[in-house]
Amino acid sequence: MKWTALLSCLVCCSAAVQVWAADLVRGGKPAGEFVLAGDATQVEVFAVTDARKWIAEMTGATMPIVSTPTEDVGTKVFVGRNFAEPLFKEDMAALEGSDGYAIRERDGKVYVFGSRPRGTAYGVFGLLERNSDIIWARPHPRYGTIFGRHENLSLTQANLIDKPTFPYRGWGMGHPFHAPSGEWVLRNGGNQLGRGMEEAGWDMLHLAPHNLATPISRLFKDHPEYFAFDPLKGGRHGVTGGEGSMCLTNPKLPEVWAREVIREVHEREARTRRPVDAFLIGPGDNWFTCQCPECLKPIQLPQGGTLEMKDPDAVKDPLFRSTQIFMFLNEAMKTLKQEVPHVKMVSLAYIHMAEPPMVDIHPDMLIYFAPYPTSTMHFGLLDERQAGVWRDRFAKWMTKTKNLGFYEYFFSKPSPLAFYAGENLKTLGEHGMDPSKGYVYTEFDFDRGGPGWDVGAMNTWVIARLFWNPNQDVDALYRYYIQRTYRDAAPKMLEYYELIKNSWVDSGDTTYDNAHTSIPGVYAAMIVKKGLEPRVRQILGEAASMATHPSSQALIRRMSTRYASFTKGLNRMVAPNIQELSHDGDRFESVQWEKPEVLDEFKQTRRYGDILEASQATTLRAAHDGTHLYLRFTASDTQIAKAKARPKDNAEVWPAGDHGEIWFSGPGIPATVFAFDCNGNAYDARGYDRDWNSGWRVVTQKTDDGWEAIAVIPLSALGLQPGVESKLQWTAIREINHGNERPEWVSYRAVPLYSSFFPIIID
Amino acid sequence: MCNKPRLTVLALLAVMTMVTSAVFAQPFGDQFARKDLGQYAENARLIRPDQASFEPLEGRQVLRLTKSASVTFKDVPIDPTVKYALTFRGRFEGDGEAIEENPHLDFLTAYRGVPSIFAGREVQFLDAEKRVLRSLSSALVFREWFEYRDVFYAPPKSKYVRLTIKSGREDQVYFVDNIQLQPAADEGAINCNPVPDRYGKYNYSGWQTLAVGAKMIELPDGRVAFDTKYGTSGATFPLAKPGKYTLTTISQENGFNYAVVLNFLDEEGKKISSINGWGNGKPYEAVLPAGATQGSLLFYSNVIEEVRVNYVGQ
Repeated sequence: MKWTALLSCLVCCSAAVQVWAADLVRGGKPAGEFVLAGDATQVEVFAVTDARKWIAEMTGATMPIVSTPTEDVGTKVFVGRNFAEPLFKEDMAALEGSDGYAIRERDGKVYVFGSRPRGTAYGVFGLLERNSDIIWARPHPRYGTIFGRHENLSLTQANLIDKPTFPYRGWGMGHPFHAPSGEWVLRNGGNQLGRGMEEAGWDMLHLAPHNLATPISRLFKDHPEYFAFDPLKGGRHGVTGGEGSMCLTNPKLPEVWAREVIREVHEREARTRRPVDAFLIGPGDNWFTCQCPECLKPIQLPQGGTLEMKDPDAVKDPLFRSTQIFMFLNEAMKTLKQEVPHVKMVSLAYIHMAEPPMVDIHPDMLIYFAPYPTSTMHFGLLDERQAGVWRDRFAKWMTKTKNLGFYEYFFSKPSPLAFYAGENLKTLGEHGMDPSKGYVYTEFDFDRGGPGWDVGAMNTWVIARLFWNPNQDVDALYRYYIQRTYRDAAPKMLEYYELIKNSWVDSGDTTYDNAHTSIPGVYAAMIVKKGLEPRVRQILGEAASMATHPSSQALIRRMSTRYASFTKGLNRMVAPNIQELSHDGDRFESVQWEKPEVLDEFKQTRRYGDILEASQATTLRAAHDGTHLYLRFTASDTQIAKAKARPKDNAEVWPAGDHGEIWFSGPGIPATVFAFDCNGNAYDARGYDRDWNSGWRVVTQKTDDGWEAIAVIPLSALGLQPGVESKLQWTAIREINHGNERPEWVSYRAVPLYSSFFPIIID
Repeated sequence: MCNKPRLTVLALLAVMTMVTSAVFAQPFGDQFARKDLGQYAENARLIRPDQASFEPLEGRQVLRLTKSASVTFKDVPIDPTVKYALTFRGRFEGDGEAIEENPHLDFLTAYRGVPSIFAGREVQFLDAEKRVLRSLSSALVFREWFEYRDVFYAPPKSKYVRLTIKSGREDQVYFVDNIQLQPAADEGAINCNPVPDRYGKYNYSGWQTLAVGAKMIELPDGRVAFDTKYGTSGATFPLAKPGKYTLTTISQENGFNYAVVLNFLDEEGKKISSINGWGNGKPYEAVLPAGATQGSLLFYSNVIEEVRVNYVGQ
């Protein structure tokens, strides 16, 4: 089906929705039942029992599930193809071969069905979502699903048909399998759920994923000539750990490889007793390609002409290798098409295969493009801010095949990255790609309560919806999610959404964001650097107090907590402007010292291994008065009497023994240290020159439970100005010396000197 | 027939004597017996008498430098295929800061250049036209006598090695004793300084470009290891013979994107290919690729106890 036809179909379906109502629950009691065939598949049983569970939680009523309809119960919801087939032939014809579903009402009875079990399951979830306020906002079993409490539940949306645009909607699952994440994918329309939900009864995609050379790996012993020559190893090597490469110019290899793929398909089908849907192939995670003399010769192109090798290294000449591989695959496809025509061959355009080859792609081969090394999480692939090489590759792929999809890494992040996912998916349609041959896939994190889900669940949810139908309004999907997820707090969370959307979608923002960009990095770019941090904090605080639903509250709280931890993780020394410090900032009893943030992440200095708590606590506070930076260093010590340091003198000698050090470094400012000990000895140096004098002063005091120092440093000595962004960075170290042979070294975040410095903000 | 081995031995002795005399070419190795700076220093005419002098020490001479003296010793012919050790003892007097007082000065013992207030040494490798091909410089931060040792290969096309010693700040006096340049003892590896514990935590021989935070460190058992941090590369070493080589590393993984890499380079230093190893003590083999004449090591996130590149054979 073409994109335009699909769109028309969906529009028609929407128009066909009727005003009608049938009660499922009334007054907290069941007013209907699910009718499920006795031979229903596992996925259908799951969908119905899952729906019943949520209805029970919403209403307190546990709906019966029966295989034969009972006479004395009201609304009957017939689930499955067999009930509907005699009644809705047109729908069945429209659904045939797809994952779509229809919900129909006839004579007061409701029918939910797909042409296959998973279609029916999507229909059950669609029925529940369309007729209640539920949302499967994220997989987490405790707070991932949000719904209201109701005495009644009526079906009003029971006349529709819905079909996904893409037949292959994959979600990458790692190890160990996480059932709630798989179930979430199913509820939101995915058809690749992970290893724990692969049995035939789940009716999910049956995929055979392989790196290119692995189908022939068993042949190495007798036919090493099929495998890539490595001049470094001085020979040919087979497949190790799933990674290997083939000698693609071996004339026998396309047929040999195809036969091994066929063998694998047949064995897998015999083992699982179900047909393989797709055989996925890719280069693996390596760039190695055969370097035998034959494989380095110019390629005779089928359309005429030759392609010269520019470099044997695929990194430097991906076009040559990509062309070589796709010519090989085109040849192998001839056999595969004949022998296993039901199996879609899906090739990953990844590593050197990401480069569109100089040959046409076999018309029955599907391609899923992996543009991970570029900023796919911040710009559409054809956006002019995108790296040219990846923009060009995407454009070229759309001229090489109509069967294009994506392999993406849309991990949950705080930025509204679904806009770009949607843009790329829509671009496929706009360029005439055949949606029925689009394999769209993303890797994602299991929701074990990790940071990505806490700050970016709505993006993942919207992307799941776009995988089903990329022509939906992305902004409207976000708003729908926010309304259902945050409920009473939705107005505030919409404010938050507008804030981050305007920050991130800003055309002037060129922040790079791809699979490897960290979540805190995105937070820093989208919120912190734009000065939005206080506003976000305020909005989330207000939203938390407005939310009444416990799961909404939990989700807002988790987002706030994550952002707070990201803020802390930035390790900034934020020095507020406290004018009063100019009067008494060097006095320990000054109340002004209650204002600055306390930096307390001092741990045992570690170069490797686990981070260990320090035996004594250390804190640092910073503030300024417009002319001086005030640093208060508090060294708790339960054995302060044992602290060993040089008696106080006025010599500028390194304060060996029990002491503290605060370091600064930045452009134009060589490593600068201010060191002091518990007896008041002081030392400052720049670039290891202790003759340098900053004009600072330091006061120290011993207390019953440790010692403290206040350092007062002219801002000018550090090149700092109030309110002016600085690239100066800081770190701090403490030596706890009780006269032991090995004193304890402590540093901010356990970082050794010179390994990392942290940012400073002079408010 | 029976005379042949004897003749071979004699010939070898003759060659060794020639090599030795070249290696021990002045200005190094005679413990400043000639007491004449002009006999040792290339720039003797630029050194004032109050900047450099010789003083007796335990029956030999030491060179005394002060008032920010910078003595460049005469160039010594060198063979880029030979591993050398350049050693001397040094100490200083004066108000300058020493590692014995401020342990953070250990940062300056790596090849990271020398702040002008510190005494320092620079080893330069020169081509036939006396152009500098590469250099190593490091501070001399020990107040008490300390043996400084640089184990190295000169880069390809090197013809000479040049040593410069600076006395540091004006009021500081630096003493230099017993400079020696000779072929290094067999370290059991082609690369230099394969076991960091051998020369100790103030010796960075064999390492060229250090990642931020990279440092020699003490393991809990007191042995010295090298924390490479993210992206430390070694100096080049010659891979003269065709055939198989092994990369053997004992190291701990220590952070993001841990990697052990042996790069194969051509004469110009351009990378031809590389192999990856692991820090598990197993040898990883590679055939020297066509055009490769030298190698270099590259480490990401390792704490190295040993790293050896060895020749296996054809």
